Amino acid sequence: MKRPSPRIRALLASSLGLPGFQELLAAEAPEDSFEYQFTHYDEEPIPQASLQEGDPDRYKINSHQLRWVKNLDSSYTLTVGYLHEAMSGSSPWFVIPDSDGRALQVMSGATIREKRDQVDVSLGRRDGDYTHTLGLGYSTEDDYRARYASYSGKKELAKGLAAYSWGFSYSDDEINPTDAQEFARVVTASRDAWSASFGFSQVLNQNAVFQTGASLTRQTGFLSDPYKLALVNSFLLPDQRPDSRTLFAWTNQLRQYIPSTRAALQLDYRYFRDSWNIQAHTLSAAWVQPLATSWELTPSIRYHSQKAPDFYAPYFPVPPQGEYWSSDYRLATFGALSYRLNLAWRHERFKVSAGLEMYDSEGSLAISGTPQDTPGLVDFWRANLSFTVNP
Amino acid sequence: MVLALMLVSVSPLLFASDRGELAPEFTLPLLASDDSQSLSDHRGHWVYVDFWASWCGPCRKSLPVYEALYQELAASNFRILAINLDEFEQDATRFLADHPVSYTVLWDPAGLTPATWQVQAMPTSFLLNTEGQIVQKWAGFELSHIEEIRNAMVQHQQP
Amino acid sequence: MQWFSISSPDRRLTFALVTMGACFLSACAPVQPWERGRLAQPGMALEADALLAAMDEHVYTSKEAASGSIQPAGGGCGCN
Repeated sequence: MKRPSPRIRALLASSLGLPGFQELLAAEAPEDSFEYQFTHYDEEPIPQASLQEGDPDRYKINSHQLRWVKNLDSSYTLTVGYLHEAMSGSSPWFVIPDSDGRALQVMSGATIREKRDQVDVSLGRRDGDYTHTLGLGYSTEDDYRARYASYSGKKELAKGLAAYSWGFSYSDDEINPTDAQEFARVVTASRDAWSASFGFSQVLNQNAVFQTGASLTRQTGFLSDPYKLALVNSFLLPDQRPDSRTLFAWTNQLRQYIPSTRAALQLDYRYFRDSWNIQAHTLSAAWVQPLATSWELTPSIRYHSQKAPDFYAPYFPVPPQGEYWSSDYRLATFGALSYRLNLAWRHERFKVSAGLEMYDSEGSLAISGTPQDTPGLVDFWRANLSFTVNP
Repeated sequence: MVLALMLVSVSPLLFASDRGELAPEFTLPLLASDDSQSLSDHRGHWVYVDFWASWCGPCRKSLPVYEALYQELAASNFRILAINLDEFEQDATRFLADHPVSYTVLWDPAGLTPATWQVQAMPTSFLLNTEGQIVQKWAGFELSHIEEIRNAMVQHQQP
Repeated sequence: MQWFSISSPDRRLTFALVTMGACFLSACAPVQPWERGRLAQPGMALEADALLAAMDEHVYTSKEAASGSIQPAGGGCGCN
């Protein structure tokens, strides 16, 4: 074929760098939108056979999320988010062995009722191949307050077929446990976290996109759970964790189009490692299947496996080697499988979506590490309903 | 689909001209129809050629705007040839049911014309004068393009 | 850094993933602007539904010991 003439080439050159293109990983303006999502989260009660004392009913949480995206002009986008959640239920307190050495859970006695409110504001600016976003956030509940700020950037390469992204964030958190005097808890404490991340995304071909990235986080301060106790050598002691932690995560995402059914296969994997010697693998797969006009059905499965830090045990018959201990079930060696089904309906400016998730965690599902008898491991279900309008 | 491929015949020749390049010729089927049209059928009219697809975000904004311009200039010798590049015809027809247009929509699922016309973004559009020469090209879509189309038609008016 | 050493089952998994990644990259093919219809489908987006993604992150990081993503982190919570 003949090469384009100078005039055509000049016309082509003039087209580069203009806004309003359909480019995939590019700095295209998001659509104005208003979204609302309701979520009900419901933990299964502790089985009577594993319960030593306290209320077996665990957390139930109702959350309301709002998100508003508004393009201020052709380069600035404002995003405002709000979250309100109301929790009730009791939570695992500590673990004691029965006469056969089997671990039994002691739950917090009274039902905890709590509310949390969170506000996030971010401003994004598109400038040619670059997008810069500054964010601020505030989260408050009776006993916890977090203030955080973030900056993230993205540079598009190869006309939207590849992109680099990077980000930094800082969070300053303050903890003021309730009933601190009565239960000899810390009265006030603080922690903060610095985080940096980097990512690279690439369109592989007409049918696939891949993204890989890593993040490094440094937490310092009071990182223990002020409400949890551990039975150490027959003494009940407050949860005691190191006062610093470095976390590393490597994340990968693949999106593969399946021409035969016009579906999209989403595969995600995260490797996690931290300075407490926790290791985790998290894999998820989703099949996004468009159905008859406007409908979309998405079954998905998620598997998480983690290995406990050395200072974790359900209880400590003899004092631990180091100066730290925790019996928080969330640090245990376990594996968790969750299944979700989501149905969405899209038409023009509207989207309605509903989903149901079942989450089941078991020591025996762990891929590495030695699971211990952890009666507090949680199973929950979660239902969500959301509405999106693009005005 | 087979029919569509058979109907497509794109001229690779570009003729040099002191007024601008002669736009590459094509013959394409009309969307959701057995008929076809060629670019040369419209010689003698100002022709606005718009490459678009139902999945293209900015095209949701551009089609209604082009329709309004087309209605306004209906009495003059201005025509719009929209070349749809959807893989599935029903994606395009469904989109047009929500954003109806009265101008000509052609279908090129194999993407032969955008390759010849050197399309580098979606959407991309060209204004051709009555001689079939390219007067101006737009990549992407902005509302300001409408004014630029009018200006270009005035500026490049034949003596 | 002692904690950064990777134990052997993890090393095998890491190797498998890196190899997979390299295969994908070698399958790269140029994609023209008008050939991006499949990639423009909602299910092909890398950045998922923002509210659902935020809730997922909140739920999983409150119940598991791992966290971290390419997006910048938010603040903590006193979640039990």
